[in-house]
Amino acid sequence: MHCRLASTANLFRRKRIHMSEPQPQFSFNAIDTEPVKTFLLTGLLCLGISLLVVIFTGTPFWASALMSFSIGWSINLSFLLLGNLLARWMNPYVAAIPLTALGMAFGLIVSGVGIFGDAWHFFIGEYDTLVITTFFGVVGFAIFSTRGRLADAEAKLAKAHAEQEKRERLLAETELRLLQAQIEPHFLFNTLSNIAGLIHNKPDVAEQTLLNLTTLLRSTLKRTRQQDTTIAEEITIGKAYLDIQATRMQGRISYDINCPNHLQAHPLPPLLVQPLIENAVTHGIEPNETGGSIHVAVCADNASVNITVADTGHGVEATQSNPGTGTGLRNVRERLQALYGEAASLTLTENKPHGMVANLRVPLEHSFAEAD
Amino acid sequence: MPSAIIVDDEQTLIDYLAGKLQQLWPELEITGTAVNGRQAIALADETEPDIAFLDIQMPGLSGLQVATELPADIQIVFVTAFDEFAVEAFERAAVDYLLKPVSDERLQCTIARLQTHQQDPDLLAAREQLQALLRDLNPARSDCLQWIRAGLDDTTELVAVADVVFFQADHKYTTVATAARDYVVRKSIKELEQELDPQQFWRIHRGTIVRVDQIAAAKRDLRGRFTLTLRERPEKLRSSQSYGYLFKQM
Repeated sequence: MHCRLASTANLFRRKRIHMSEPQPQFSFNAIDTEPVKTFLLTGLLCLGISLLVVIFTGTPFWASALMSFSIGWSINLSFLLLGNLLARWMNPYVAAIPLTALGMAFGLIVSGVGIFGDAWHFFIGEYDTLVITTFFGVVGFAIFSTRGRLADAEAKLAKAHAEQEKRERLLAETELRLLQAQIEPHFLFNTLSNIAGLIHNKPDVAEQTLLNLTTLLRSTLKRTRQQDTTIAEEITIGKAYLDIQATRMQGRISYDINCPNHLQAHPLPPLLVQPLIENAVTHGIEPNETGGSIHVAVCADNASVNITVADTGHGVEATQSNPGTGTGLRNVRERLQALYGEAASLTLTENKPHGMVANLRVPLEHSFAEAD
Repeated sequence: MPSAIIVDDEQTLIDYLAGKLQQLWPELEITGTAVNGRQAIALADETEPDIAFLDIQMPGLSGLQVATELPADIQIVFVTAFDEFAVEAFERAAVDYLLKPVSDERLQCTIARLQTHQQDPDLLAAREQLQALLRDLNPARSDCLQWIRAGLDDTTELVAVADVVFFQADHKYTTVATAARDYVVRKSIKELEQELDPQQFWRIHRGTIVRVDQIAAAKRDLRGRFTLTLRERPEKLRSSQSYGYLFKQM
C-alpha cells in the first residue's frame, strides 16, 4: 500500500470552483467608480492631444488646449450624467457612440464660443477640425473602454477569489469538526477501560486492541497534515475501528469489507468513509440490543467510485437513537460539497429488513478507469 | 451482607469492575450482571440488591432510564466513560458516579460513601432528588420524527430531520428542503406538523413549516405578516397573519 502525500495543488485540481458566470455587461465603471481619476486622466490625454495639434498645425496653444479640454471633459460629463440611463436601453458599447457624439458636439460649441465667439463655427466650414476631433474621440473611447473592461475583470476576479476563499474556509471548518468528532471521548475512554479490563485475563486481546487504537489515533494525527489518502488506507483505519468495536461488543457486531484490488490505491480525501462507518456503529448497531453487522463495499462505474456502508442495525423505525443523529453525515455532506461540488454525493437509504445504507459517490480518477 | 448488581453493555467492563470490587470490598456480594437496561430492571426485581452500578450509555434503555425504574431503596452508582453533562449534574446533586477506566482510589471513595449511605436516614429524600434530576437530564423519550423517507423514482432516500431547513406544501405532496437539495414526500404539512418536534419546527403558514434555528431574520410588513430569511437557503418564506404571534418577540 503506498502512501500518497498529495500536494495542495492536487486538492485544488479536484475542487470544482463554482464562479458565477461573468456578466457580459460593460458598465461605465471608470467614470462611475472613480470620476475624479477619470477626469484627471482625460485632462492628461487632452493635454497630449493639444500639444500634438500645436506641433502639427501651428494652432496657438491656448486655442488648441481650450478646444481639446472642452471636448474631452464634455465627453466625460455626458458619460457621467447620461451613461447609466442610456445603458439601460441599449448595449453599453452602442450607447457610447451617441454619448461621445453628444460630448463632442457640446465641446465644439464651447470651443467655438471661446475661440471665435461663434457657437456654430466648427459645424459650418471647418470640417478638418471635425475630422481630427472625431479621430481623437475614437482613440479616447478605445482607451477608456479598455480601462472600464479591465476594472470589470478585476472586480470579477476579486469576487472569484472571495468565493474560493469562502469555500476553503468551509472546508477547513468541516475538517476540524470531523477531526474533533473522530476521537470521540466516549469511545476512547471505553476502549481504554477495555484494555485495562483485558490486560490480566486476556493479554493477547488487550495487546491487539491497543494496537488497533494506536492505528486509529495515528491516522487521526497523520490526516491533519495529509490532504489525500487512498481507499486502502481508509479501509485499514475502518478495520482498526471495527475490530475495537467487535472486542467491546463481544459478538454483537460483525463486519466485512470488500474492495477490488484495482481500486485499493485510488486516492480519496480523508475523513469521508470513517464517519460513515462510525455512524453505522454508533447509530445502527450500538443502540440495538441484538447488535448486527456492517458491510463495506467499494465498486466503480465509468464515472465514479461508490463506497457503500450498510448496517443491519437499528434503522429508522426504532424509537431510541443515540444523540447527534445525522450530524456526522451532515459534516461529510458539507465536505463533499466543498471538495467536489455536484460531482459527488452521499445518499442514505433503508436496508432490508432493517438498518441503513450510506452510499458515498466520488469522481473516478481516470487512471483507475480501464481495469475491471 | 450487602449485595450489588453491575450493568454494562460490555462484558469486559463488568468483569473488570466485579474484580475490583471483590478486591476492595470483599464483603460485597455481586448477585448478578446485565448487559442492557431491560435485563437490569428484571435482574433488580429478581435479586433485590442494595446497590446498582449502572453504565449510562447502553442499548435500549440507558442507565439513567433504568435508575428511574428501580425501587427507591437501591443505591445507585453511575459508571460512565465520558459524559460531561451528566457528570456535572451528578456533582450538583451529590449522586455518586465512577469514570471508566475505574481507578482503585476512586472506587475506594465510592465504597466508603456507599457504606455510610447505608445508614443514611434521609435516603428517600435523596432518591427523590435524584429522580427529579434524571427527568431533567433525560427528558421523556421523544417520539418525534428523526428520519423522513423521501421517494425518488424507485428508491426511497432517508433524510435526517436534523438536516431539514423547511417543509413546503406542494399540491398533494410536500417539498422537503435541506441545505443541499430538495426532496418530495407524500405526507401533508398537517401530518408532518404532528410528528415533528414543536420545539424545533414551527408552522408559519398553512403550507409551510420551518426549522426554528434556520430563521436568520423575520421582517414584518404592514399587515402583520412576516417575511423570513433563512440561514442555509436563499428562499424567503412568508408567514401568514395567524401565525404572526410566533415572531412577536423577535
